Amino acid sequence: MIELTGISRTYRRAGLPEVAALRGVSLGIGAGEFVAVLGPSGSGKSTLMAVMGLLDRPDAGIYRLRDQTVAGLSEEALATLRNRAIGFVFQAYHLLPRTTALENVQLPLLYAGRRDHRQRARAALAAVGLGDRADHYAHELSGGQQQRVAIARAIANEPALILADEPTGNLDPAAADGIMALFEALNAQGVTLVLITHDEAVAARARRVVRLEAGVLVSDRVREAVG
Amino acid sequence: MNHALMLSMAADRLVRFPGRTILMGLAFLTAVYPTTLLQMLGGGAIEALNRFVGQVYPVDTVSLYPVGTETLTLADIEAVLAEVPELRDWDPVVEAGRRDLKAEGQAARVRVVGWSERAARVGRRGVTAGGFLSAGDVRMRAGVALIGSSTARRLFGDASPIGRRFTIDALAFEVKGVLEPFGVDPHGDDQDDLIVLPYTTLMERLLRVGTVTGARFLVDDAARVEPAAARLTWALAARRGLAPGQPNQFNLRTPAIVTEEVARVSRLFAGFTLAMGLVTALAAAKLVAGLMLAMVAERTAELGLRKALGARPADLRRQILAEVAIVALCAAALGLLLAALTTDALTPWLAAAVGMRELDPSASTLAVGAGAALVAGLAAAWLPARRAAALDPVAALR
Repeated sequence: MIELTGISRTYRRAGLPEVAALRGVSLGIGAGEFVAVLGPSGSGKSTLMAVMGLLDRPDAGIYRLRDQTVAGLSEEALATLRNRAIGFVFQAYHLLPRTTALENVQLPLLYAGRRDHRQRARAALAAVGLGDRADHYAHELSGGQQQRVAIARAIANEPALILADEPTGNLDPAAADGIMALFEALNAQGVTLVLITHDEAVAARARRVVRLEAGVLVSDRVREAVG
Repeated sequence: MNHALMLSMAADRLVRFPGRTILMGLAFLTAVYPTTLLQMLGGGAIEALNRFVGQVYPVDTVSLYPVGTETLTLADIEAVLAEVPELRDWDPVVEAGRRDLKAEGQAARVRVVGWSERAARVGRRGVTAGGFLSAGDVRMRAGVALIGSSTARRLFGDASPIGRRFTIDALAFEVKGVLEPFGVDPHGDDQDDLIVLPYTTLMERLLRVGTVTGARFLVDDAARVEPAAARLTWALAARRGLAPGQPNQFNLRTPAIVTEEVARVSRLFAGFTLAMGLVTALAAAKLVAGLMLAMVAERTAELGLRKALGARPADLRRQILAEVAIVALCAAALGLLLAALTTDALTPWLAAAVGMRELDPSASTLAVGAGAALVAGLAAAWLPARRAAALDPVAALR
């Protein structure tokens, strides 16, 4: 599914020292895996997610997604690939304001040009247990429900890969547990899941844990070996 | 993403953020409404001017009104007629200005002019009641008059003025006919507030002058008006001892000259409207550009999210342009409607004041109004749209 070889990403801003967010990271993730990327703040987790999610381009290294090298793809092609192959879940949910849950979930379907966007969005909401909240606005939902809407949006296009960046970071333990259970269920259905977190307990729910420190991949273990 | 969905998404964002949408709409409205209103009123004024010119200067006539120190006598006219065979008929015009009239206890100040019996033919203005001036009236310096409909109403109310009497400077006159209505000229002067006397009566009994104010000539063929006017000028110049090409004070008015003057006014007005349209469109574009730039900054997270969810740069660019285009077209439609309603409300007053008729927006007015708003809007939104398309989604979502 994902093949990263020697990926480096350095941020350069005028007047500021260079920040090497990723330094020669090589990582392979197979289809259907549930991988947690663990590391402290500033370790390069989010940069790794941005690169894997085609939101950022590495300075060096090769990234192959579903056997396709992405380096030479245009912005348009990257957008299409992102839309069809990847679902994103963010810590802050990033739901559109003044927009219902259903309309939020419809967004990636609209960009995919799906004619059945309404039905698919309803089905995705039902899959995350929010079939009865479709017409609620984001601000009318709890944090846990908003994150479920974000997950419904991520799965609406039936992507092969879901990238979740600290998805439980803003939730209370009960809601966080519900979200993790939902991820586990999705993974059980064959969806490849990459979860970015700094929380050992959350990472422990994944079958494989990759640890980053200062932009370097320092360990890569299956769950039984964690801790 | 297909265009219908794009438009629907753009419209959706506009509805959900009404404050910004209204502000943007007002920017377009302030450009479209005054420009369209000006264009419609100006178009109406030009139409009224053309109509007036067509009535006063028929295509087969030449009018002569000496200016400055120049004068015109009946002998001059006789000499010109002998020299210019194309002149088939003529009618003198004697202006006496506004004079005080008294009639059966009523008093009014009315414009008084002198014509001959040929005025109906040369000036294309007859009577609707009673009779026109006759050759005998002119020869006998008769105390008869033609009356304009507005003057008749002022002096005699709704009763027939035919046979009624009035005095000017103690001279008595009897109303012989009621002039065909003419209406208000573009200067706002009521051309039906008028008394016409035989020119001989006016010159010899009232004004005691030997010159006329001007003369109108009927040319035997409309195609020969310009050569006839040139020959008329030469004849008069020769009579005054002026060499060919020497400046003169014979103010000749031919349909071609008048048409060119109207066309010049029309071009001047079109230029002014265009300049005003450009200025207001630029002001609107500047405001819209500022609003859209602020909007892009305010919606950074939303636009970044859209990118993450699969929006292509072109999708975001089109969405911003579509949002502005929708507002521009709606505001243009509203501006055109308001302009039409305003002119509707002003029509009765304009008709009475300057002779304008009912004003309808032309297809070109509609197209120019909507097109200008659209072009200004798209130009204003281009930079914000490019910025939206170039947003870094990682930074936007941070």
